[in-house]
Amino acid sequence: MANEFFQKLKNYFGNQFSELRPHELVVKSSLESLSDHLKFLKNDCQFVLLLDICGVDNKERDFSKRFEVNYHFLNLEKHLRIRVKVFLDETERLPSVVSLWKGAEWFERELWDMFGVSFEDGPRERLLNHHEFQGHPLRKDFDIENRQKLSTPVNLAPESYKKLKGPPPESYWLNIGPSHPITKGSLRIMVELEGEKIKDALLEVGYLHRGFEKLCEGLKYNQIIPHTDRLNYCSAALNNIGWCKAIEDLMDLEIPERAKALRMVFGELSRVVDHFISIGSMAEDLGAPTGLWFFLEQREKICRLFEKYCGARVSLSLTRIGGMSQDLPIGWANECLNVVKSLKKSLEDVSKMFSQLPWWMDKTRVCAITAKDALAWGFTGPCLRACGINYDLRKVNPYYFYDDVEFEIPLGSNGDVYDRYLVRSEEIKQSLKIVTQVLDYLPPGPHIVEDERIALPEKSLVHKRGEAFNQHNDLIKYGVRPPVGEIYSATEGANGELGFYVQSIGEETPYRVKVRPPCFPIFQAYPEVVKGSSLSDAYATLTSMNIIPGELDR
Amino acid sequence: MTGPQDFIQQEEDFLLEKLVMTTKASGLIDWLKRWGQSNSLWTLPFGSSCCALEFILLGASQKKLDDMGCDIVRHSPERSDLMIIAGTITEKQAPILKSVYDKMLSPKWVLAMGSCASSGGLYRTYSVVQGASREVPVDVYIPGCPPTSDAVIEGLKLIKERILKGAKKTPVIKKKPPLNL
Ligand code: SF4
Repeated sequence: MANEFFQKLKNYFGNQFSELRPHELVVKSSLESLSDHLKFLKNDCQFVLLLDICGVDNKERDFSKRFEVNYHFLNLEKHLRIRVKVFLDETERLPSVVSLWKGAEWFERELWDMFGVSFEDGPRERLLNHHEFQGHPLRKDFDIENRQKLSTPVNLAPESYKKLKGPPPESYWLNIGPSHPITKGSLRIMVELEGEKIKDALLEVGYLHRGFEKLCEGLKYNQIIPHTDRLNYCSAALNNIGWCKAIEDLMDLEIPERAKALRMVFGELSRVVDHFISIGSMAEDLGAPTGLWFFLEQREKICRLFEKYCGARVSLSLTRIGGMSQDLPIGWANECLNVVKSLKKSLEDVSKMFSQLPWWMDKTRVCAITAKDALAWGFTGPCLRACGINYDLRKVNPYYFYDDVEFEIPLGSNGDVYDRYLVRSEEIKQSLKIVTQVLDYLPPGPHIVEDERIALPEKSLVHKRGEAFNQHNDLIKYGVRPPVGEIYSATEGANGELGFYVQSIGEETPYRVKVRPPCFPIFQAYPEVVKGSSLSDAYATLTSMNIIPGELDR
Repeated sequence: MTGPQDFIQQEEDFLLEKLVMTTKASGLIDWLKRWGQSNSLWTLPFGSSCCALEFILLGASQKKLDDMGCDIVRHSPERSDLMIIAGTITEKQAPILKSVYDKMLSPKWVLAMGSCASSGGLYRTYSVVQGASREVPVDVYIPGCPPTSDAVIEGLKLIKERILKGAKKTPVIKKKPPLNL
């Protein structure tokens, strides 16, 4: 079957098509035929989900054209990812793909904002930087310290908002954010209300744009790990794992079994924490603040486990390229099992507290999205599964030991707030199940690869042996050096597919890093989802989607 | 362990001492005012990112904010005395921070929580303001990424001390003009 599919692609694209890695295909396209190629991919090959659009500036390499744009698509049925590459000059214009994939809009705006790539159908607005910003930050000739002050705040309000005289308008605009208790970070929503009903909503992001991608171009591979913590700060370990896995796949590196198992344990614990915060804040926004305190208390138990392992509670940085930062402290596994047991017990209270309560159902059976729309927008993760689509990377492409452990993928059917809540709370249980299974059969062995070009030698040896001392010095000085190449590697984050696209030119720093943040496409669909509902439903929707500005704006 | 009883006793002794020592009534009133201000700090969290999450946790931690007199968290600038900047301030956010600060009624204090709010932290990039003190006058800085709840409590104590002593506010740091060599 797969061969037939490949043959079809080969016939259409000829020798422009290649298979880089299993599940990762590459097509080189040209500006003229791009639209046809993309149409073929979507309509005939079922690449229905747009994952990412990523630009690259080739100024420092001698390529004939300056910019390179990479489209990433996913075929859910066959679990194949394809990358369509197209090169263009500063003067050339790119065709828009919004008509094919709705979710492309923000990606295209970002492309204009960051690289200054222009489009055939007119100019785009800036997305992450403010409107007075000059220049395009991800171009190689842009100075990273070129800060530009904003004189007047971004004005989202339409003209009718400012009208004070005359008869009262039928609808009015209400501003929420960027610093507001429900937003859990900085994002801004402007809703048009007609009585209680929401008629329209406008979004503004970029209030937490910290320049992660530009920063990465000047950092060594291991130095980037602490920065990935701050992407989705609720589940830092999952970001660490995603980043390290991308680099290890690029280097074709097999990490020790113990490291794999530990990554699974910490990843799943992080997922639990993330879901706790999401459900807790949902409860708070719906008028049950006790829920938040309850979940934060549960979260505290896991945070203490993290603290015991690596000394940090939130920004963990617990992986290294090639494995983990350290082995488990003595007694940690037992303590973790105890915590898991007590969490399981308190989760039973949760289902009593929320899942079966009529008022909770009344308030949360709102703001549904159909599976078709969700795919068009590019949803992944719990929000997609709440619509009934069974797609979880841990099942379809089991990395580490996910195919050896027993767990299930909870699915919703309506795609509303209640289903998102149920999927999340059920996922917590499954994650705890995974943690117990892995800890029961924790493989022995080293926690990091024993390769002097990748991992630091043991500290006690560094002071004794000259050889180890030199290794240590070299690694600190020059860092890990992956071979020339590119990779798009995805893991299942707490919010959906967390992808890292990395281009390496064989140096100690990456040439280009792009994050595919799971909540970027999800937040884009927000106005459509909340239209027609009331304001309190809009609050519940925002938290049930779990929008984290850190990864939204990067 | 000092119970509330002891605490009141101590305060009263202190008050008495002051009464005897001060010759001018205005001095005493001034001191009383500051004492009152330092013990009823209503906070306005200006949370933008990861540090905000840790700030929420402060409420869930075992240390009591109530003891400090700052357990009342208001999300409206007009009703609060102490702004806690928790998180990264970007150039896009900066005018909003300023306008929120301007809306607060005097006397007002500002606490910068975390290295991002103090100095830009990890992010020396084109979009991040290098410290909230470039936009608003900051009284106390708390280091950490993110700071633990103990550190925040320590910072709150420090700010209370400063209020009680009537410490001067630090002015907004103006960006140095580039050197003309
Ligand atoms: S100081 Fe650290 S934890 Fe706090 S906002 Fe900055 S990056 Fe996040």
